[in-house]
Amino acid sequence: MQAATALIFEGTRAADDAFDRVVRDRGVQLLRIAWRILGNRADAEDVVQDVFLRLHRHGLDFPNEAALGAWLCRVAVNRCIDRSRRARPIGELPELIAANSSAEAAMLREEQKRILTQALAALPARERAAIVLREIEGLPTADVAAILGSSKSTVRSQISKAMTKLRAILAKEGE
Amino acid sequence: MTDNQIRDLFREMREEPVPPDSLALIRMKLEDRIRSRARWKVAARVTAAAMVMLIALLLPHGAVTHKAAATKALAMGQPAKPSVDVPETAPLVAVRPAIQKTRRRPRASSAPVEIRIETADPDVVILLVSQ
Repeated sequence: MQAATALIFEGTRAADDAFDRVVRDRGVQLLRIAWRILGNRADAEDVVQDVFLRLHRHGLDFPNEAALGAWLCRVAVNRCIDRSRRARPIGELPELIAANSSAEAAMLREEQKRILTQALAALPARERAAIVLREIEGLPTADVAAILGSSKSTVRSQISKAMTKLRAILAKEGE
Repeated sequence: MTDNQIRDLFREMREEPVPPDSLALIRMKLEDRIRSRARWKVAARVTAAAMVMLIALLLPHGAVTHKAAATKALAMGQPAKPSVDVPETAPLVAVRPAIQKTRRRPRASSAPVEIRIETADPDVVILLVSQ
């Protein structure tokens, strides 16, 4: 049995190498997106694992790199939205490694980011996903629309609504 | 906070690196899951092959030939004829033909044989009697 398994692995080594490369290249971005949408590191790691497992089953036959990237983002965002609908409320804030700058300014900046992240967590899942993809990841509106499975105008409207809500939450925090 | 300030913060968030151990952990767990999935796949294939072989061995010979004949007929577009099971013949062995012993009929000894020949003249009859 072990010999048979070894043979199968041997036969698919080239495919495995290509798959490893995709995990290396795309893992960071997917993890960042999932973490920002879910606000929880463990859940984000689970989502990214699931996404790559689905890719392994699906195979790497995409017309180009952009199509592969869009597919990965779409699966990841859909998984995040599903999870955040039934998941616990976001408690743990995504504390990604902060760049070191002067202590006081950095502290203030970190505080602002913490508040903003909290405000982001209060948004509905789809609006949060739109903000993460468009504003944090900097993807074009057309790509965001393709990932979310909606039109460009819907994405624009979601982002506009989300920004209004964020401003309101931040104003309340500032009082 | 203005929209521009919010967007600046978002941009800063984009540049924040993710912890490297997080990605390493994902890759490790992913590899485990893929390997275990591949093992299950191999195990399932081996089990399926074993089941097919077992079924083929356990099925009676007649059922197999009948099914094969039906499949062949179906492929040729004709109705399947029921197969006739030919009983297995014993291997041919050179056998010396049995000598049929005829029992000699005992000769009738006591009863006399009488032959009666009638002639054209009804009054004349030739009678032969053996003793």
